[in-house]
Amino acid sequence: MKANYLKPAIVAVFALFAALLPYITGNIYYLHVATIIGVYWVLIATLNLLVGFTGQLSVGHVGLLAIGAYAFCLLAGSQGWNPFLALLTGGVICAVIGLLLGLPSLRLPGFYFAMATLAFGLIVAELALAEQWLTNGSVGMAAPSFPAPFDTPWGFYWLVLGIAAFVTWLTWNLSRFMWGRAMVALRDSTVAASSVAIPIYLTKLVVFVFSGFTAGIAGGLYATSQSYITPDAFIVNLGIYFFVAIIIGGRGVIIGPFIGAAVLAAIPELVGPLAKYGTFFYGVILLIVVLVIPGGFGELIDRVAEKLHRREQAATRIEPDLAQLRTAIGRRA
Amino acid sequence: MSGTLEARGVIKRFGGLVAVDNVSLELRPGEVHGLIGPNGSGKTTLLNLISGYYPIDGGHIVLGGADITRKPVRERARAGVARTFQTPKLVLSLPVLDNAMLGGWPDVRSGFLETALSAPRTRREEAELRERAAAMLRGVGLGRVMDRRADLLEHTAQRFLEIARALTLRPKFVLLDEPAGGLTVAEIDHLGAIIGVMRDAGIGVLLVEHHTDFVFRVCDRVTALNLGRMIAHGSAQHVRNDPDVIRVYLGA
Amino acid sequence: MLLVIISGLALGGLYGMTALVYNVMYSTSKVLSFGTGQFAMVGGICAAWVVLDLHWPVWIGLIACLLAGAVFGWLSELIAVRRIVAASDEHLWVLSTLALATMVQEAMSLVWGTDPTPFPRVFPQEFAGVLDQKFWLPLLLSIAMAIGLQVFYRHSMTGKLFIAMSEDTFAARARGVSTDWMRAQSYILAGVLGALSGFAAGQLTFADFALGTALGLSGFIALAVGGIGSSVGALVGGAILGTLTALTTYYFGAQYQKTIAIGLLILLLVVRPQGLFGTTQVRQV
Repeated sequence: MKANYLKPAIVAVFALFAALLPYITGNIYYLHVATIIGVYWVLIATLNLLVGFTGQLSVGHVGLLAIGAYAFCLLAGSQGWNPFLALLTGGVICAVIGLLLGLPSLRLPGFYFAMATLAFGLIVAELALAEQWLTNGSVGMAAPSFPAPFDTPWGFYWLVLGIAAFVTWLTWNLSRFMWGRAMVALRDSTVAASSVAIPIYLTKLVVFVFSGFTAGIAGGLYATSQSYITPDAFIVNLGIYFFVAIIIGGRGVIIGPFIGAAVLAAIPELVGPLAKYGTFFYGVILLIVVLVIPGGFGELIDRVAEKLHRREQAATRIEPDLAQLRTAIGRRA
Repeated sequence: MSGTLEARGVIKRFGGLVAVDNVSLELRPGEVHGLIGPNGSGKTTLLNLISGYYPIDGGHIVLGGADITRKPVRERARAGVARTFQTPKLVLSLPVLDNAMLGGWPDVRSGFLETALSAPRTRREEAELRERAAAMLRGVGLGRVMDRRADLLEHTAQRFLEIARALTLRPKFVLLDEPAGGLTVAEIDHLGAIIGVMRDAGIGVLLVEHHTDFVFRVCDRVTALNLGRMIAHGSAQHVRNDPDVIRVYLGA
Repeated sequence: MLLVIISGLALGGLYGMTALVYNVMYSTSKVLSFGTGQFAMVGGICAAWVVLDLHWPVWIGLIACLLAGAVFGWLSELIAVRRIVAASDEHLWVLSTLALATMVQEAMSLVWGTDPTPFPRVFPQEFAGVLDQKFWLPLLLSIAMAIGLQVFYRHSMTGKLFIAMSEDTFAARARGVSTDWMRAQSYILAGVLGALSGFAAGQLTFADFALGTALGLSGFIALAVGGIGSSVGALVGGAILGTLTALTTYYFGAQYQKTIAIGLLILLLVVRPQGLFGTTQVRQV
């Protein structure tokens, strides 16, 4: 029973720490790194639903991030929209694009889908460079900042933190109720999923559209956090990073990918010389995790905890309670 | 007749092989119908045709008078046709209780956004479903292992979990594919009792099984297949004494 | 215009060869490797390095390129595929081959640099135009490769065993075939053929670390268009994609290449999931 209090306690302590971070560290750069992690997390949290829970390997979310970022810069910048409205609109645009991309590609087997999303990521990068009238090509665009009180590094950090916390809450809800079970079911066994009437294609599509929406939001926040965006920022390698964070964190858990995202983002930022080798190491880590602990660290921890907790396990004795079964079934026909 | 699940003149070919050849079968509410035959006689194929896993090459599947021949698996499940599998198909990374709860999916009204926002209805449905699945698990005898991950369950227990999941669907008909495989004598008795409760509750049960003693004990009617064709059907007593059935299957 | 079509067909030859390489690995392992395009990249860069930096003759460059491909192919099987195939989880092999592809690409960018470098001439040549070897090398080689593979599958013992494995791995193992070694051989062959395609098309693509990912995608499109398992399909798929790419580049500019390509892929797969020449249905359940 202790575990029931442990988890909320950890979450509370972490939330407090995150909220007070600007007071804990006076270092603006650390704050910037924390902000970036928060921005990435807005994308990764729901990408985890797609990759980790539903088992659809999207390599191309970086394309959605880019579209969200450009949409935000265009709408809030040159069009002069309210930044919050622009942020939301960017999310909606990405959701619609996610729908258009998902409609044909989610019908296909896994590798086809992965390739289609990879292609999407490459296309977006290609068009961002080519469509100069819209994106300024390789020159890039300045990103507007949010109105006060979110126009300081602290203020923006809290904004990102708030959005990230909200997205985490949404994700957690989705994972713990029936929709979460449906996602895992269609990942593990499509036969089992369809035997209980789960609409496989539709479920994948809804999850994909939702993750597209938050990827668009993350894109807007990303633009502001960088204050200037160019097509170079959205290379496929960034997509690999999102991916690796989820896989090493563990599929089917929420906290694992968060730790993955934080560690992977922090290391190259804080240990300068590593930045150059970042993607190479992402590849190495991904390979090792896939080969050694396919469930990621999240599952590894689960397993260890299970081993520690488990009492002597007797073979399962099947002892039906027919009276209860009778009541439970009720009268059919 | 309305309220039944029927296969009418069903045909299935795999390449040149006719796996199911013009088989008709009627499953009534509140009856246990056995489907027997040697290996390769088309029993499981017929089950897959009725539940919709294979596209059909001829004939019709009719549920309560409505033609469902072209309906996908999930719509048949939603209409009340549940099943179990020869090799249990469970979501192994989820706990036993969650697996049983999956059977309640057709009753979930909460949409995606509602769930994301943890709306009152979502929480209410979750609580109801949890209770329903838990009762079903206790009913089939898995009350003590509800929190265990499904992959840590023995094979035989997995069979009972599949039954609990099928029952959580609140089905009109349940198709059981060799549920007694690998079970001990005591467990087979439990299975028989559970099937009896299902029958009494008005559920129509189609039982594919090799264990013929068991089949003739629990079934009201039996259909016997050989090489994809129906060789006998009728009351358990009648089929048991049918000379063709004895010759190809039961042995002298 | 003729030049556009020829260059498109040449590009198509490269895509077709990549599709053939996919097929070779798929036959024994049922794995579509994310690293397929990287063989050509590694082979091309290796040859360019030997010839341009070390100033050795072209034929030594070719041998080095093929050796690199063989080693890389063998390592892919050993590292990214062998243990995964046993688990038979598509999720995992997509990830392991993606990881390996990423590692190789990044390693190459660190060692070789990120700028595309011109590739040496294979034969002395004084002219440019339609008869340029940079067009004919990949085109002719792709046809030769497809024919060669057919001969190999039909007439050599190893080739027949590849086919046997692709049809039924368990049966092959039951008859005493060392399936691990067979798979390794197919990956070595794939590595060699991939590197060879990179060598042949080097003058077209340049020696570029980023070639692998794009080629992996284009080759896969060619494969999906033609149908998995079909050599003719691979060539036709490659030719269609290459010509289309060249024509769109000619009419609309290079920036729409990938947009058109992926559009083609998705369109075709919606209409005909098994590809033009494929027989096996794409698994849905």
